[in-house]
Amino acid sequence: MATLLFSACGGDGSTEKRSSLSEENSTRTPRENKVEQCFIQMDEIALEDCESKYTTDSKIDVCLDEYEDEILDTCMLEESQDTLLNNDDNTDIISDDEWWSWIKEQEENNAIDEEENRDDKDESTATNTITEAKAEPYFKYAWHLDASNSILNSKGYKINEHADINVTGAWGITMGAGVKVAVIDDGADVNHEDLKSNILIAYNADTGGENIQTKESHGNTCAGFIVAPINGKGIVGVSPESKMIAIKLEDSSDAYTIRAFEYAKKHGAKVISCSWGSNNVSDAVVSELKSLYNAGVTVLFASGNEGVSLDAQGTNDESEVEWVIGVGASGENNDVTRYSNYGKNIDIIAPGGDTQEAIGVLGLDDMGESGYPDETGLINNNYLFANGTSFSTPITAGVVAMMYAVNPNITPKQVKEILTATATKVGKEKNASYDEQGFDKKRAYGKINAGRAVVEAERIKI
Amino acid sequence: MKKQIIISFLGLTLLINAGEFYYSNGNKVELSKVEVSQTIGSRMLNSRTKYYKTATGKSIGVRDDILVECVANKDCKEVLSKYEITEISQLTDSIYIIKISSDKNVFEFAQKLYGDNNIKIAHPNLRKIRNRR
Repeated sequence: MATLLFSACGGDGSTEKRSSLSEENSTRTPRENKVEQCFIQMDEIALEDCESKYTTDSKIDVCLDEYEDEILDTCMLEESQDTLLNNDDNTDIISDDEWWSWIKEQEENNAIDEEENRDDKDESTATNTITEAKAEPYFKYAWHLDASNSILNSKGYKINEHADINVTGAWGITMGAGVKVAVIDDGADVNHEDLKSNILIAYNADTGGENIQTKESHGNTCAGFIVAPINGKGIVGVSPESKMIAIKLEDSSDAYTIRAFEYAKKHGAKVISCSWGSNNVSDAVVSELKSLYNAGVTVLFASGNEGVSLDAQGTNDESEVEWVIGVGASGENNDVTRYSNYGKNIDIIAPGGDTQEAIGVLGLDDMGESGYPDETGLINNNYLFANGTSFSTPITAGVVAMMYAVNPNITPKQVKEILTATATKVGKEKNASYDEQGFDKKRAYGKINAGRAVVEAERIKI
Repeated sequence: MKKQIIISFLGLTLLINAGEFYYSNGNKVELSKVEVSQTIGSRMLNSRTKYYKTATGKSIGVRDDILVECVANKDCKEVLSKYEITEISQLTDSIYIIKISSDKNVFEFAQKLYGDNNIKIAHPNLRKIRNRR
């Protein structure tokens, strides 16, 4: 089935309405119109899918019946994002206009910091691997990994040379070998040239099967940010020697969500990356997240892209749960992005990019024709520039995977403490105001620093 | 006349039981009916899922199943055995999913379970949208 249960109804009015509904429209509320529009769009998706699979009317009808629950859930549950936006208590947007003016000073400060914290254990084999990673064809565009060597500035995009996560500081020690990372999302392209060799398990939590193939897959992009291998193609993940447990989850119920987490744990995942949220997490799911925490599994959730505070009354998001790491987004300017949701329970920010202000972060797209056409002229259609806390989260998950690689006994509590304690305090030259605990309202504990985090994780090893 | 009939017809909304609630983190989550157009309402008549809104505007769907976790060191199957449950299945070491017969109100049943001192969590198996981020 098509990807319906992840929020899919844009409500953009792009689809023509059915004539039989037109009389009713004038009496409906805007919300009802939006829901109706969603039904029309989903009906068309379902019909297109069923007609592509079957030729007889009776089989098409059965196929459409099977879609019905999914369509109802998708459209009837769709409005949660609007609710979050309406609950916003503080939407002031960070201006990026003056960022060039403080780059020089930032560069100097960060250069000193990173030099002091870089590990000196680079051995020849590690150096060779780093060299190979940097030789990946599109590494030069992967500013989230190495901004100082990005050539995007020469292409007209403003990239702060410290906007990356200092991954090379970690790669001198590990590239994540021996660690299993799960991504729970809408599926993945298991045949993608830059992913397949690192997919250990593909599991469909909805069906119990192995088919997780999805078009326009969000999960595919997320997985690539973690484990895209060093293979002479495209990009490289943050933790390219880790292995992926790719879990497809579209059913909207708490029970299936819990099943997906259980599967990941039982199959050895030490890190679980979730680039989604409901703004309304259930007690049973929280209980499962606590259980994973106690079992030594670190779970990460994206904070969301509305640029709002999650501390607003009524917002109870997965990313705020005590037992997970809540991740917001930093941008090409080495500061928090305008769209990144924030709040007292969000822990960290990591590159998510901003396609409107700059170019976004470079990740995997679908292979071949179903990939989005590249508008930058820099990459082929198997890759894309995108933005969102969705991508900040797997980038952080990759760092966590490397922490487990150097210290398999590290606990989720230690992971969170290290990530936040070693973070780079970005935005000081703007309106950042880190308190005594090192916390800033919009930037949490700062931007992840892979090198520092991995060094510290190894240092505390018993 | 035709116009009046149409307006009356369109004014009909699907009224789902008001005043339902479940417990989350020790607090009551009050739910209200979901009003939908006649077209959608008629389509939902055969749906297994009923849709509600919370006081903060979140949409949820429920069916006839409930998630339950008992307090530590309690045999949850034994605790649940005194209730009229049609099906029970263990999701995790501590979380169970139970089904109740369709003639029972899933909220009332969950509330009753929640009131049991041996039960820590009891709420309908909530259906909600996971927004990609």
